Amino acid sequence: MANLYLIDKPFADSALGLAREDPDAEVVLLQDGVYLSVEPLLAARKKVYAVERDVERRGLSSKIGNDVKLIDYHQLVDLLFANKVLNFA
Amino acid sequence: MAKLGILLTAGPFQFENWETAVNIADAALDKGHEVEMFFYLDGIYNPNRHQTFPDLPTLPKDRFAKLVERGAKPIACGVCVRARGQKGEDYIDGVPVGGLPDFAQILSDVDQLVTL
Amino acid sequence: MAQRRILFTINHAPFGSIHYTEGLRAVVGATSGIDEHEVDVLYLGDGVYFALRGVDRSDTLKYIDTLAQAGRKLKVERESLQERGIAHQDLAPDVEVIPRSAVRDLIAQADFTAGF
Repeated sequence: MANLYLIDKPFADSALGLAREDPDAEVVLLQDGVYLSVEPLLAARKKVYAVERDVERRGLSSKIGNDVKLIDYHQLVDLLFANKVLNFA
Repeated sequence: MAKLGILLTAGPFQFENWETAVNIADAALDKGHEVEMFFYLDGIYNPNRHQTFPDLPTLPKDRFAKLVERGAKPIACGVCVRARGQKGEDYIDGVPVGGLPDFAQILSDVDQLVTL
Repeated sequence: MAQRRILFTINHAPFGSIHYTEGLRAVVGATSGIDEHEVDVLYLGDGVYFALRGVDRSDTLKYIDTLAQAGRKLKVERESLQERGIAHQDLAPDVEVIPRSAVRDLIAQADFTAGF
């Protein structure tokens, strides 16, 4: 079971430092969270997911790297129940 | 099967949170889970039955009404409702006005909590 | 039906938005049900500005007193203070500064988290 950080951009200041240093962290970017730079998280070897709808409607599909896994809401629900949710949205 | 709790504090129209909340709730119901929701702060405006906005294909209240039809159990914070000059009859069917003890009960009932 | 432990994080600075006080109302509310949930309050990011000694507590005092009587201190993340150049002598005497490693312990103990 991971600590699943749900992160929107306004909460980035609170959440990213914590997630980066948490050995059990996995991160889901949602809403404006998909605008955040994922490099520091990837450099810290964190698994990063992004909500596909939030990426697509912002025109970011071609900008988001292969190392971020795009998920739909059904996959998100599975992740929510399989992990401990850290709410930053 | 599990139970998902959603605490929604953002109002409709100005923020995307309500859409995320509805999409997560719909997906959870699709998978046979149960959903309980608490509307807090401006979140209480989401199920207001008087909403109109021609530019939106589907109004927030109608998507929440659909969730209620599908078995989701929402409840609104009474202090927040009264603070904003709203009344129980301003809400769609299936959204009672309660209080924070109801939120405490949701915390007892659910297996996971999402706040938006 | 079960008693839960909920970690409430307060991420918004006081006064620019209502989260600093309505978040605390929700914390106290979470303890009000029949299961009497355990709560932790943690200030992160800009939320730590609430811990400054001079902050007006006229609308939060009743929640802080209730939590204090239950033995619950307001916890503030040390790294968030450092990033903002806030020194220990700038802080209200009743807050408890904890390092990020201790935040991870709070997360480990929590059943749920709620973000304000």
